[in-house]
Amino acid sequence: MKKIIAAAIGAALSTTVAFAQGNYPSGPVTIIVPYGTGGSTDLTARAVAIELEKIWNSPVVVVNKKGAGSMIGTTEVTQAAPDGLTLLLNTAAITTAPAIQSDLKFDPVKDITPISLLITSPYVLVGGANVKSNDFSGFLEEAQTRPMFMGTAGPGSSSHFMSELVILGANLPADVVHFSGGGEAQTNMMGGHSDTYISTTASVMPYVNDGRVKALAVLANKRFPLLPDVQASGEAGVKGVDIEGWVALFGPGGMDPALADQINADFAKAMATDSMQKLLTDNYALAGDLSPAEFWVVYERDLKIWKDLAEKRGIGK
Amino acid sequence: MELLANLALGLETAITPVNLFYCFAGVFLGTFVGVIPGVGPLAAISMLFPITFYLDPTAALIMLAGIYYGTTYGGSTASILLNIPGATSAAVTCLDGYPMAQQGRAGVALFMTTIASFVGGSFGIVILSLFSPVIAEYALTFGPAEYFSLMVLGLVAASTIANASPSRGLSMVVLGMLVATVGTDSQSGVARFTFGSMSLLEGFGISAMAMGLFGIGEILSSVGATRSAKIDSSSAKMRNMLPSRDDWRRSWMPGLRGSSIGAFFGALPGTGPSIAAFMAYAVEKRVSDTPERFGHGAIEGIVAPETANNAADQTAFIPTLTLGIPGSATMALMLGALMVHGIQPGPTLIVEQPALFWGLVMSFWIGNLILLVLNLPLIGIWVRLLLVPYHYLYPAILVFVCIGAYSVRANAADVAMVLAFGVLGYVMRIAQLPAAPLLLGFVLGPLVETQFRRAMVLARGDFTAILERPIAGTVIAISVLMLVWGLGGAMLRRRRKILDTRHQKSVGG
Amino acid sequence: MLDRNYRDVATGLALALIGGGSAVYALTHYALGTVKRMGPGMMPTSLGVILAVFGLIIAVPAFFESRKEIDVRFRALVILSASVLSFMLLIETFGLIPAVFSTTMIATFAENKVPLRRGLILAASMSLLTWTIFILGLRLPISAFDWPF
Repeated sequence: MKKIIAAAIGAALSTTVAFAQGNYPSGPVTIIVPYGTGGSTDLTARAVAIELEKIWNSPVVVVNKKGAGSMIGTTEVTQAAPDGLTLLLNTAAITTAPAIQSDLKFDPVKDITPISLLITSPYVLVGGANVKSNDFSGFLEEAQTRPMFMGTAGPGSSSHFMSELVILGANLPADVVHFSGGGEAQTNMMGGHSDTYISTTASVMPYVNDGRVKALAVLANKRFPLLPDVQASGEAGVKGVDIEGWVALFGPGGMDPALADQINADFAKAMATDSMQKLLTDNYALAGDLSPAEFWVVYERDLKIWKDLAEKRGIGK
Repeated sequence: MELLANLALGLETAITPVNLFYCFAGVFLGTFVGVIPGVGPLAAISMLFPITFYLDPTAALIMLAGIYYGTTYGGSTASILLNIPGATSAAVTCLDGYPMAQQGRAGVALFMTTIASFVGGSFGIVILSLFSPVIAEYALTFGPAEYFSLMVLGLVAASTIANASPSRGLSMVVLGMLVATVGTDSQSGVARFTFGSMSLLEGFGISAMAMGLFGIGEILSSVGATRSAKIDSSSAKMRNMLPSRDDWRRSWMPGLRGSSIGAFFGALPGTGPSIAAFMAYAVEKRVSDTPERFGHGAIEGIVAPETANNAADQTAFIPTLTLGIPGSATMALMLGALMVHGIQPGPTLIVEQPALFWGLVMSFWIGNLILLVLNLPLIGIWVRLLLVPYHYLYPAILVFVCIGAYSVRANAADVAMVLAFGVLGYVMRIAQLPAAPLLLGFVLGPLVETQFRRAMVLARGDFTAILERPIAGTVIAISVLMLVWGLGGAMLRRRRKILDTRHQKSVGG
Repeated sequence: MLDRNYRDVATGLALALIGGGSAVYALTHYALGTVKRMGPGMMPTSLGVILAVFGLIIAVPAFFESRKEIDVRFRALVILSASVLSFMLLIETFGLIPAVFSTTMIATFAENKVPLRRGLILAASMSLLTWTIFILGLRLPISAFDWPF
């Protein structure tokens, strides 16, 4: 009840009083992470929170609200006031989950304000013990003679959608196998039970560097500067799979554009610090440099791509 | 000799005053959290996780790990004294621990579980330090088909856990599996039996279920009933807390078997201490000459699961540290504590960070020693708890269960969930349906379903392809044999009983 | 009244009903899938059917067995449920101490053995104890006192 009243008051204030620059943040900022403590998104949030506290001179609290493919935490943010004091750090799951969860309690376009693209990295297709080829062109041939099992981190995860996109784009006779999380998908690939897995650089590169799995392709039109030896999918002639993975910042819907711009700028400052730059290098990732308006376009485009793909491939049925 | 040098390096790291302090803080907090029903290791570690940003990674991991295995030590205390599992992995310990307490042998039970925990933990540490890389490689050969076969074996074993007719035991296993289907389906993402509720998407919580079925169920059936004065003050005397020669003799083999079973399941990602404890109990009951003693205070029935869950706690670090793959949510937190400091666990961790790996291993051992020293003197205090009249005790237990249930997700609806499971537990007692198989069905059900459906995709719909895999095929064959043997035995006993009664009738008539 | 084991008849029929109901619901709402890729309905449907069969196995022979006494104490059930529910209602609105106090107090009424004054003392000490453990010691994010308005 208190929350609803607070939200109502917040909404009333935000529509009547225009955002005054310099006041933000007027109190402690809560960043909601819709995943468990200790996961990669959580670690990013906690590291960036430390930097933001220095910039804002104000406490920044990270709260974990995991569940339902990140939709429980996301729903909570949509119900908060758009005053910039409640923010959401989420991955591309925020665009994939609405494509298969029919009973969402919010509208992914109206009830969310995309603020800042913090981290981007390409999706990498990796192969396990049973895959013989070492690059994407070889893999495409091998996959035609021996239908592959493409492991995912679960139905509706970005690894699932990307696998479906590759199957569609390269016209592969492959089967998708759902595991419970990326860890299980990768162990099964290492053990030769499944063949491939697609995820962002941060989650696959440690195993690629171990030599347990091999990076077959960067799913992009051109090679990724941080991984110059890995073939790009575009080189092998496969189009339409060049989607980027990201970690981004969101706020509740209806946020003042000026406020969103300021938060975007503050986060850019935090991302430019040495500790965050080290985190990026460790993860083979880049800092995003889009304005809220530019990111909004990417967000809506991805929502649509996944919705169309879900319909075309019968995902979530 | 390399091992000795490594152990020396580890000891050097572990006994620095800072690390010793964090080790002690971790295990102390762990035992404490373990005793309180409902507050499990995951909640405690999540709360303390943020401090890892400010600590040296070794110290951080030593403390978080201490909480983790310390909880398992404390978890059995409430199981034995009050029939409420303090941690989910201690649910099995209720089965024989609580009857022992009712017979005035709570001190003995607590003493033996502490020793068993230490033995199991030490066994796990030995496996961890000697065979980590080998085991990690071996675990990779376990795919969906192998997991499925192991879970089937577990289900067959489950049906014999309770002292009830096979139809009652099996029906509860099935009901447990059915309850476990509530929530998001792991293979299609479809929400099953959630009826639009957001909080049901994650399914029912295992700790809510264990606390409700055992804890609240117990209170509901004890309050208002005539209770025999079961505990007198003499049971709190030191002499009556020490196990007898007979107890030691009986515990020796179950301890060894329990440790091995625990070490095995701990090292497999995705299983863990709870499943290990259930399996160890089921195996003991199987191999025992006197299975009828189980459920009525058999000492084997507490030694086996307690060695198993503590061994599993230690070997759970094998996949986490050597493959960088966490087998459970708690292990994911441990991994996070390393990644905060830019350390990526993997096969090279032992070589690249020897001080961290061996320091951690040695700290586990020191931690287990501290737990032993910490827990033995506490037994006297715990046993005195039973001298408090029950009508003062049960309101207090109820409060702890409520807070425990609430604290897991800070969700008030979870309290109602525990109550609902409590009422179910009470109704089941009246109907004489056993609760333990229900809990086991609930734990194993999702694994059976998920792994089976995965295995069928990988076998392209051909079930015989699963049977042709050497490990999976063998384990399934063993399960079928066990099922036939069990059902056959039950039928034989029944026929004999009918014959006996007929015989008596004819004699009497 | 015939001499039958009504307890087992009821138990078995209840299980059969739960199993059958779940199976029918799953069958009508979730896809069964194919042998290769089983749908979300496969497991609940088969489990439901198996449970129903077990229910009947328990119920049918009970028709021919003799009656068994059962003892249900509704007073304890109702009062203890009220005690737990009061915790649920108070914890987020009024905070830990009022919730613990009321849970303890209501629970003591389930038996007539605790005099009111001692009940009050017990409730007060439980409030203090839980406050010390959970808020002071474990620092759970729960407030001791809260006010909903």
